Amino acid sequence: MPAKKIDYESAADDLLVKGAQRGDTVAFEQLVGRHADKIYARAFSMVRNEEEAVDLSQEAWVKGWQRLKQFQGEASFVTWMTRIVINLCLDHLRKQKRQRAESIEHLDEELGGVERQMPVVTVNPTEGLERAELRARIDKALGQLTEAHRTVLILHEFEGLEYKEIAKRMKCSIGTVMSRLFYARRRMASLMLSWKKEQS
Amino acid sequence: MNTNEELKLQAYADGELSPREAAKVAALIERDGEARALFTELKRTKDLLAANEPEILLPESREFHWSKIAREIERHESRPAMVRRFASPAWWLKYFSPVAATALIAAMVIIYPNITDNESDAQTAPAPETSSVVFRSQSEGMTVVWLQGDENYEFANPESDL
Repeated sequence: MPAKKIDYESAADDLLVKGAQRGDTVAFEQLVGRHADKIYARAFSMVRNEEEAVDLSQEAWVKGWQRLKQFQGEASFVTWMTRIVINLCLDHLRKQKRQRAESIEHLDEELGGVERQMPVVTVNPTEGLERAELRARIDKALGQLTEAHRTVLILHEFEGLEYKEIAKRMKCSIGTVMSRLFYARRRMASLMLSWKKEQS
Repeated sequence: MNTNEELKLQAYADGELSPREAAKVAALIERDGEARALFTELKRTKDLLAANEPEILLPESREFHWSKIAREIERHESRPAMVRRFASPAWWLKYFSPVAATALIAAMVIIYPNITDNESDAQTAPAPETSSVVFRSQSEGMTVVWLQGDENYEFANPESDL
């Protein structure tokens, strides 16, 4: 009996995944088209470089295609793809870190101690902001964090990973994850407040 | 408040504490204004980020992005075929290789009978049919041939001598 023809435009992700697992590149192209922004956005949020983010997301799609048979559907396809791009970005950042002679990260961890002593932000620094403006400020603030702090924040707040899972992925202790997350949040609150003060 | 308490406040906001620990932290927030203020700041920041992830769009067209991905997939898929071809030779090559190696060694033994001799120079007796004296220098890679009855001599290179 001939295989049923897929209406690629309207087909659900899992149907396209099944098609792609059988070698249907058109189905895979459709999946790429649907989720390319999300995969690129995750790469960009982590590496903060447009060109590198494009390359990493492209690499993630190629890996996705190669490992498609391993996808069992425990999570959604886009979650599975996001995990692939996150792992690629973490490897990329590790390589970059090894290449750097000086670790800026250590300097920042020390500064983290100073940040802890900063007064608590009691007012809502984002009150009255339009959503687009709010998102732009969050993006700008994320760009001012170090890679380690930003990564922890992204994995926790945007990807919803638990401390244990983040520690495993970042190859560090749970204590380090907690400490970095704490510093990153306090820094974000502080940056938001300083921009609010500038505006007013 | 010490660092440990601060981190516990955060873990409480993230739902990472056991019920027993969570109850302790909840009591701390209730009685300590400083702890309450820090907890509020941490929770607000967490909620703010979770609800407002920046929107970032792919800076190139879908078609162009896909064309690059498709090209890479094609490249990766053609590579293993090449590797397989070179990694597992045809069955006859498995038998041909040792035979060829043995034949090569045999040929060298026949052509270079003195190959295992010492490296020193040697003078061979005149060959009766040619009435000549041959001097071979292994170190110089040179062979000199004296022709008997003739005052002339010639230098021969090793290749032509063979």
